[in-house]
Amino acid sequence: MKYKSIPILILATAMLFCAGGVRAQFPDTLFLELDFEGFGNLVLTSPPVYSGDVVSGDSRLVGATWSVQMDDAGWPPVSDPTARWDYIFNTFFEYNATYKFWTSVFDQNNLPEKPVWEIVHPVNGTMSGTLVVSSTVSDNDQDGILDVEERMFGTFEGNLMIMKFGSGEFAVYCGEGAYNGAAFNDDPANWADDFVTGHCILDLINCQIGTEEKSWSYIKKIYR
Amino acid sequence: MLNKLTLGAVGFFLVLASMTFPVSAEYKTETFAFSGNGSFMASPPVFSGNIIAGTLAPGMFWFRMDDTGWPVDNLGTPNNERWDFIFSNYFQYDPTPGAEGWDGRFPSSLVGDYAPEWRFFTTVGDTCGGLTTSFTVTIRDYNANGILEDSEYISKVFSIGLLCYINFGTGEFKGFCGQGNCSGTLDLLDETTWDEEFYVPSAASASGRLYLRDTNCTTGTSDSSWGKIKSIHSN
Repeated sequence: MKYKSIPILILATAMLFCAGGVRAQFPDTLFLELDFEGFGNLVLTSPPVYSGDVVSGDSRLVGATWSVQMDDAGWPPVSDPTARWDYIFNTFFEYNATYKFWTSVFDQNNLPEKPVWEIVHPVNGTMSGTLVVSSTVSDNDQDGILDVEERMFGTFEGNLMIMKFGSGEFAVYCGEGAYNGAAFNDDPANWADDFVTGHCILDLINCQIGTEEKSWSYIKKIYR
Repeated sequence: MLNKLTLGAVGFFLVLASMTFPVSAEYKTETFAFSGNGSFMASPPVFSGNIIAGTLAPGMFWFRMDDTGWPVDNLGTPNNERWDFIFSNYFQYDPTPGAEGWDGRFPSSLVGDYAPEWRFFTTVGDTCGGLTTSFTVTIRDYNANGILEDSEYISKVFSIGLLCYINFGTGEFKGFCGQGNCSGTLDLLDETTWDEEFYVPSAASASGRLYLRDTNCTTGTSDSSWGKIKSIHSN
């Protein structure tokens, strides 16, 4: 019985060393890049959720899923998509008559709370936080009316906060990030899902370090 | 089975996306990454540098902010009056527990505040440019005390929406218009000059995008027809 347990002990020890090795790959600062793809629908989903996969980028994140969710309290119900879309357009979109485009911003100023996001990696853990979503749609025919064809394409970008409530290998981190991408819709007249694709950066720092240690010189040192 | 369906759906939508924004003489999708610097203390604030990767590389870029009404720093006082003005007029604090920080939007809601302008130049002589549809700088409040400390200012992120206007296109981009965006980091390089490193990643990813077209780009009098002219000449 004793002899049989030796290989198990060796294996367990090796696993512990391996786990330590993986942790050692996560230093006090991390700058992660990722490319994402996914789908979402502002009109037919309540609350609106955009979600998908991390398709490329840093190996620590490839294979993760991501999601972004907004608080739509007060919006018309999904059962009346026309009224809901009209509300979204009239509330969040602003027209620039000089340069012929619409911009929209979704943030804590026009929603009950700031939109939230999450990344879940099946092995390395989770990260989450808040974000602001800005988007632009061009008025291609410059008539001041958002035509169905113009709703087929838009760009979006924004900044995000990474909260220190992650799990797994990301548990020690918090920080800030930013993203940019494009949205495609094949059939906006029938409220089809948006296909979104883009790039995101996560600028992370070990938030278990006391704030008193985060002096200017200390941060310079770790960035170098 | 679910994975196959998901992959199929992604493929289907990618095809639809390519149909929506077709690759042809009338459409261009350009990519870019930046490495540059700049300072809010300059008048006007300009962030400029090199296009280090992507289809627009090699080249140069600049973003210029409208600083009309911004004060200069009074060297006789301990505060930086210029930054104090920018911070109080452009940045808003978000106290969400665990995600405390400031978002600064340029332009602000101040009357007469104009959107930042931008230009990209390739070394072979192509130019495109316009104004920004959004320019947001975010600073994290790491110790959640609502006070911006030096150690927090040193590291920032930004995202920028781009509107490419036909008037600024030359060379390959003459007659083109469109939109795009980028995101990156803005980190302090020199605490005496407030010079900042302006970085859009990366040499490997070229994450910035421009989606351009040369149809329906009016100059106010007539539609542009460069695509048609070029296709005639290429034939």
